[in-house]
Amino acid sequence: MRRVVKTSPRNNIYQENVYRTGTNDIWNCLTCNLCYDGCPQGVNYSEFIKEVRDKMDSSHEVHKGVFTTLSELMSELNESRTSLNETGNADSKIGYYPGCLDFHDMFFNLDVDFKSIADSSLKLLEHLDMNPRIMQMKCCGHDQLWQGDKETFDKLKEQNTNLIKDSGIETLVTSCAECYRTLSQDYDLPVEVVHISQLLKDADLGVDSGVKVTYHDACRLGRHMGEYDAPRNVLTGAGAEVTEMQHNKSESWCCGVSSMMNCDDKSKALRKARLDEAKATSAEVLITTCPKCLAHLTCMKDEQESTEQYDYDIKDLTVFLAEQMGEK
Amino acid sequence: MSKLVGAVAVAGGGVAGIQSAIDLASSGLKVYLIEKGTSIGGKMAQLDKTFPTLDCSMCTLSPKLAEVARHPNIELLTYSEIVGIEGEAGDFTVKVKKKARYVDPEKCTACELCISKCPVKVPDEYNEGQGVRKAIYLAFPQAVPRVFTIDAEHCIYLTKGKCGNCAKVCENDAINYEDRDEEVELNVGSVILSPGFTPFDASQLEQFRLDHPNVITSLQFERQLSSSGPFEGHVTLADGSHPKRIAWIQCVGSRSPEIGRANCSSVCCMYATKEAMVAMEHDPGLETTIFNIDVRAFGKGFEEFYQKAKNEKGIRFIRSRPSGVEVDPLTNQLSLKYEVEANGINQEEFDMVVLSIGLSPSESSQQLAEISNVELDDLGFIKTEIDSPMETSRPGIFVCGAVQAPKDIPDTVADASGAASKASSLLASERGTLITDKENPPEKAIGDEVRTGVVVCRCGINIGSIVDVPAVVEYAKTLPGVVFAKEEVYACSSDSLAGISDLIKEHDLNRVVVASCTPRTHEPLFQDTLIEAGLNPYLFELANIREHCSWVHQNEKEKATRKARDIVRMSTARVNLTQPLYTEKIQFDNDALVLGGGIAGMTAALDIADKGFHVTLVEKEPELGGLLRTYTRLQDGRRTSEVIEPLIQRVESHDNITVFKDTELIELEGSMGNFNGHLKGDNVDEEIGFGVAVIATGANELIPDGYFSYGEYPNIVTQSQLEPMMDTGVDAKTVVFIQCAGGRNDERPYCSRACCTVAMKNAILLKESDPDRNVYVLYRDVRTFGKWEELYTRARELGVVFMRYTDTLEPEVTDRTVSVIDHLLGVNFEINYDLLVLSAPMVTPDTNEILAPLFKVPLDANRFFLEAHIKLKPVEFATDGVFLCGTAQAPKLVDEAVSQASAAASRACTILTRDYLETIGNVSVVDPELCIGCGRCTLVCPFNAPELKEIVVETEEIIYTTKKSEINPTICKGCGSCAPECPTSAITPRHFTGPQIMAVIKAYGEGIQ
Amino acid sequence: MSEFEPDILTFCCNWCSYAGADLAGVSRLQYPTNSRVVRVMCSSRIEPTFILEALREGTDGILVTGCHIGDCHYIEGNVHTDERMKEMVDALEHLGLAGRLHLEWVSAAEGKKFQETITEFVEKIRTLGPSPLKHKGGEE
Ligand code: FES
Repeated sequence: MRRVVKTSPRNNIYQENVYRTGTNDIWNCLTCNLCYDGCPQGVNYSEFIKEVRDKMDSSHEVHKGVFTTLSELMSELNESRTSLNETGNADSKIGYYPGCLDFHDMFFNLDVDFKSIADSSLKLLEHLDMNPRIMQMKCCGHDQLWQGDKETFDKLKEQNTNLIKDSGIETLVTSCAECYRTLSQDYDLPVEVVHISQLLKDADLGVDSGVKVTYHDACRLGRHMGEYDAPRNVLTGAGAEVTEMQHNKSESWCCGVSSMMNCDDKSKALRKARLDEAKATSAEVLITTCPKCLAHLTCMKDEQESTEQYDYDIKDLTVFLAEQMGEK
Repeated sequence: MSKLVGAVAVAGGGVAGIQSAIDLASSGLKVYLIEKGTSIGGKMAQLDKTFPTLDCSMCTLSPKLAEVARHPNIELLTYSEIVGIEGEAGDFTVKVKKKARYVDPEKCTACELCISKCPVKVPDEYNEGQGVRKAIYLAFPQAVPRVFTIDAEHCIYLTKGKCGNCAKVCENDAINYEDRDEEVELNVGSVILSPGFTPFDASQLEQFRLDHPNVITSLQFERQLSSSGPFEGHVTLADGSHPKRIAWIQCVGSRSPEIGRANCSSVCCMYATKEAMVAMEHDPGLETTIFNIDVRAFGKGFEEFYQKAKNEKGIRFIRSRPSGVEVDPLTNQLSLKYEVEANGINQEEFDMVVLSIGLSPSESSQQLAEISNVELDDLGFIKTEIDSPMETSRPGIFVCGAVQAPKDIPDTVADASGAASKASSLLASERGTLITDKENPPEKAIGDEVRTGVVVCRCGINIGSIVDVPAVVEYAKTLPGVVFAKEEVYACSSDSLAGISDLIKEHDLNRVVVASCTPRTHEPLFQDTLIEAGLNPYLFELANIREHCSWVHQNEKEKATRKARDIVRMSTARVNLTQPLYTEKIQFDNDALVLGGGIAGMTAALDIADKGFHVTLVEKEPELGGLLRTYTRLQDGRRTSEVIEPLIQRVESHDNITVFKDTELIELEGSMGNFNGHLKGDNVDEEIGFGVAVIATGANELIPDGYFSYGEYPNIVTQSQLEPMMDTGVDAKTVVFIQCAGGRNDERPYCSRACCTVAMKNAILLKESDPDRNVYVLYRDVRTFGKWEELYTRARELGVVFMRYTDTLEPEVTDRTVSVIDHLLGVNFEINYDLLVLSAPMVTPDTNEILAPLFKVPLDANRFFLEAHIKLKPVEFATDGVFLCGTAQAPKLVDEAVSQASAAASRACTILTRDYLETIGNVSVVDPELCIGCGRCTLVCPFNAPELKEIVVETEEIIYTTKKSEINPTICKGCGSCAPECPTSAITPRHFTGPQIMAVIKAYGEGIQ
Repeated sequence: MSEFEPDILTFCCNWCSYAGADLAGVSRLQYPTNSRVVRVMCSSRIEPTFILEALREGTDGILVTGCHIGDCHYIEGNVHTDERMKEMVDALEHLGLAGRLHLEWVSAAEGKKFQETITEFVEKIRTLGPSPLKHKGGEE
């Protein structure tokens, strides 16, 4: 983020630790972990940010959009859930959690069918002979945690944890990088949490697509969880030609919007840079594993009167794979 | 002309008069709007829905009523009549008789106490005699002005000297039994006559049995459909039950020369279709039948509407004219006898019969014509010429609406603006001389501390008897920000208004809440008070505890009081967050561009230029004249050149007009007030700036290739090819016309409106030039609407033979013969023709597809330009500053094109005459810091107010160009639809901001127990 | 404890449904006292978050009203309202609050319809019971 706004991690930590006076600058951080990866002292600035934000009064800073309110309401409502899908195979030991895709379809107003990520994921899992139970959970609380609303997060966490425990599953599959990070790192679950790319990395999908693609590492899957290879392996396994952008893997740049904060013309510079990098690869498809990256990058690409033309598609990994399988 | 007076008297406050008044007043002239009745609104106020879009009539009209009431340049004289007009163009003295109302408009607050106490019941005119009103009354709930009137004829006090209830209960002392008629003299430069029409009185045709309770007129039926009507929208028979079978009889009082009503009334076919359709929406099991001679669905969207009614809704259209209504003497059952084509006579029973009554000139309009000394035509309508449809025989006196000929609302509205244009051209030099700008005290600084005052109104007993007003006042005092609260008996009475002004000063208030009635009628009144006390009008909020509380919860005093408290709390929460808002004054370019040099374009250009503004007229062909160059005669027999040549000459020699021929507009940017266009032609390559544009690009006659063997044989021509032939003499003993050649089909589902009249004119000319000649007209419906019915009659008299065909059984054409099934006789006819003439519809030029996106204006399904509102904004686009007229909008006749052209000029001049463009206060604004330039706002805004503008964003390391949205405050109407669409909440609709609405919701939440 | 009295928040657009509500008043059409009105210029001003915030406040039901399609004072604002509210109805279902949001077009001439809409909606919410987000306690 410091590439586009003046922000000083050092100053923020100093202010907080010495004077206990936070600055507004803490709301600038995208918690993308790029600095952590590069920090000689190994300072985990993101974790720091997460903690201080919780202590701060967030009401003026966090853009209280629909998504935030929805999650807050969910934490209060017993009957709420993120998906109205059928529950799938209720006896399965594997659970699939689609995350907030339905809400994305409702409120993003983009020409993206988010729900197809869930459909594609299920199709892919089916191909792996996994017939999962579809988890009727609430929002995982990722955004609340990073927006500094630990109270809501804790409520969601508790309710979801109970749901997962009661369901009897042993493995929880997510198709969303944020859910993956949150459920595996910020929850204490008695089940194994995996990202769908990890299940697919060795699978034979029986396709040889030959499409030239490039892969955008979502911060949550990449730097936060260290998973760089699985998505790339799945893609190569499916016959796609993966070309890398200038910044990739641990150096990869963020899409600029994290936890539904910071969407402005500064962070747009990051998206612009990212789209330009992708353009330079001359890939046909830009692949990502995070529905939010998908949303934000698409939002810029599909602008009404764009000053720049980007001819490639932007797709979620699962959707791309399922389509390739379908075309075969 | 020695003297010119910058004022205009408009006689008649229906939609025509209203439109003329608004146009004139908005162009800097003083207007006296004189209406005979107690309220303006006219017949349109009585309608339920309007065809063909089924819009709610009152919803679209009432904002116009309010606009008239509020307009500083309009003086409203209701319950008044013109009794004399002296003088000459530019300087008339108009004598007006103001009838005694017996209610002081200054004091009456329309609280309605008097109504409940008045013992007299009078048949309610607004509901066409269905239901009753009192002797003291308001014509209808949305009436303007909102002042009661005592009907002297029925009032017991005024007739017998007894009762006096209303004076006793009126707490404001507004009743004045001593009131007397009064005569005033107005000095004006011009007069516009817009008295409208009278519905034909069907009781004079006894055979239609209007005396039977279940035979009603179409206007009565209209009231029955209205949810504010006598039966709350349920069509009801005399015994209270609901009909299952309803018949409409068309042409009652129209197309009936035997009773002196020879004209077609233009609107009845469509209103009957609409009424049937709406009635069926209310009751899906209803059977509806419309008995007609022809279905005259000639206007824009009408034919499609008719087809839908017939084919989708199952309305039965029977082509027969029952001679009367039969009533069974024993059972009282209604039935109709009618002819069935080739099948004899049928008799069928109905539960209700609706008489589609025609539009007649009223007696009072005849008197008005006499007083004005203007000529009438044979039918009693005010006489005008085709090329000057708004000009009466007396210079300086103009006419508009149904008093000139029966016509529909959009034609009336176009006429009205057109007449305004003529008057305002005449008085162009006097603009602004008779209007005064109100001086307001300077606004005081409001500071950071919120100091809100709350006034709770008892409205006599209207609120006070239900809501515990003192308790609400006490409660209001406890609310955040409130420093003062009190009650008033009538907050809107003039002394109370003065009191509010004093309170503001005394308590240094910077926000005011009045808890009384609806903001829709009273907000402007209180806002004016704030302005006079030096407060910005946006620091005000009306808490509606009457219409939304005491009146609708009359039996629940306690709960109503709780609700009133909640409403006051919510209003206070909102007012506390309001900010002063200002209108912005923006300089602009007051030149005009007119595209298209046909009769419409030239008329528009002249009308604008005559008012002193520069016009660039652009014609894509090498010559001016447009479609009329291809026709040689007008339907009144004159040569088109007689009309078009002088017009061309005036245009080309006018100081204020620059003509570009052989030229097209190829690029355009900007918006109202500052458009920039690029003109390109063989010898032209020019950039021009202008503030408004009029699209008058016209239409062409379809080349009917493939229809009725056109193009295969040399003796088959179109109407426009026939016309020049007639000049040299047509050598054909038998001429056959085929109507709708290429029109009213799947490809072009619309009716081309003008062709029937053109065909009649040509049939007559052919017959007159050689009476022995056989002329046949093969038609589907003869649509010689309005006064042109006369041509149809004449053609028949001259021996022109008419034969109907249907869309499924079209005539067949060989090189010498036409064969057609005659429906009356059911036999096949073969006609040997010498000349076959096809009436082909008008079609749009290809340039429409280029111009529409250039101006960001829409096209309709038939590729004609689509106006902003099909009834009330016939010459405007939703996009400000862009207007349309003539056949670019839809096919039409010459007089209609001329009327629209003047109308477009008039509307355009309401902008051009301004000194600056002024924005409204509550526009939406974009925060450029937050805007990411996605452009979603540009997709939802119907007015194209947001525009994406390129800027460079500099961040710490990355610099890039992008676009950001900017909302043009001169265009934004403040609806706020863009804000929810913005993903970064960068848009704030002022006065309805997110925080303000959230505060109201929070305050609402506090009341949840 | 008396019978459950739903709390209803009603959004009205200035030009049609608010005028319809006014007409209900002018015509003295009686309806239950449970609703409170928020006026906006056009129904298209209503943001999803307004609905969610009202729910958070504990409202039992929300009525969104506007001009009939074709009648919107701003041409097609209500078309957007229609789309947005359909999404909100869906969202409420996800939240387990199905049926608590209702969209109805009411024209300026439909005082009667305004009355009926409020009356019917209050009854509907009465059968649905209090919103799970409604604060516990209170004497009603
Ligand atoms: S103004 Fe009523 S919905 Fe737009």
